[in-house]
Amino acid sequence: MYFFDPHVHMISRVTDDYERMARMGCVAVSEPAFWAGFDRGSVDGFRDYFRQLTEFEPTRAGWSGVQHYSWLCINAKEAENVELSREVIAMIPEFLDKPGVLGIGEIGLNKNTPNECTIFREHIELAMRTNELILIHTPHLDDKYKGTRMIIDMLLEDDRVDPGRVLIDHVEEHTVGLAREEGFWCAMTLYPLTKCTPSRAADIIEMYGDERIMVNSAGDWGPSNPTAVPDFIMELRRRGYAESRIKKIVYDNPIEYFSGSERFEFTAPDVFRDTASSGIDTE
Amino acid sequence: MPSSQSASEVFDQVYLDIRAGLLVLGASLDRVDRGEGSELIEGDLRREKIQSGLEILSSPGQNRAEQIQVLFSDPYQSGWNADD
Repeated sequence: MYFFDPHVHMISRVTDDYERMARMGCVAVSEPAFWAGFDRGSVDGFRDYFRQLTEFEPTRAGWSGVQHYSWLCINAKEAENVELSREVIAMIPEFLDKPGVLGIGEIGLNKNTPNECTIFREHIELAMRTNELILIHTPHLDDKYKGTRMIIDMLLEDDRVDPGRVLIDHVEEHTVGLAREEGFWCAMTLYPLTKCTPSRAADIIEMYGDERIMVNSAGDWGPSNPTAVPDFIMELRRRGYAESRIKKIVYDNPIEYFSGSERFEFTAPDVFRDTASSGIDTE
Repeated sequence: MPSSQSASEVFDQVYLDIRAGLLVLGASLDRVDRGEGSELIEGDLRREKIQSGLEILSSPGQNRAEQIQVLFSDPYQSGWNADD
């Protein structure tokens, strides 16, 4: 089955992962900007990162026939540096007309601090001013419930925010209902220890339905599995779900949401041809 | 989007997973209790939360996972942003 991984940090993964994902049916990925494992020291550090996301990663993905899209922001961990965050937010529009950029993300909260809230609101302001889709990171463990509610509170403060153009990510049993009640899109992340397992994600689909929801691997430089979406597909197959119903979650829904971006130009896999260079030069 | 499987079919599929999970819980708690100073863990807030989680597991209902998530969550105060 073809699938779309709507949240995976391929910059942290090796080219072999693209190849393995493609062999398991992955036809496209979207990659939000995130924390590199250390706090970057300057706006130029982010400018180089955004160039890598918007220029080199689509090329590298193309070597395996995978279509690559991206999201831009300064992540919540680095939002404690408000001055740098504001410089990055001011610089983001340089990249908003690049092919494959879907919007602002993954913005959100990490430890639910006042500075994180300040920078989250300023990202929302940017997204509203530039009419961009939004992809939201919610906190990881004990702070997820509180942080998700605070994020939704801040989104609802702004009358310009259309919930149908906001995707709240990393939802679990205690937060999926909060996102859906207000009409937001949401996504479940399949991780080895934290967030969701494939079976719990399938349980959430059974309890909340398959509208405005998707699953992702959020594969990154930590413990994670970029082929987690196929594990979810297998879980639903074991439960007897029709292929068309599974496809809706892992393929149709991401495409429906991302189609809200005018730069989302997706070529269905039955007509997609790898147009990347036949030679791979790593030097 | 309810499951097409009966409770009996689901139980057959998850029985060994539940059994394995219980063994992991039991062995992990035993390992803690074998350690030096294990009596100090009794006052650890995290240990108390685990005990509360075990009580949720043994209770009836269909939202045990959500209850456990809330148990391990920081409290939220509505109106936190009223003065922002």
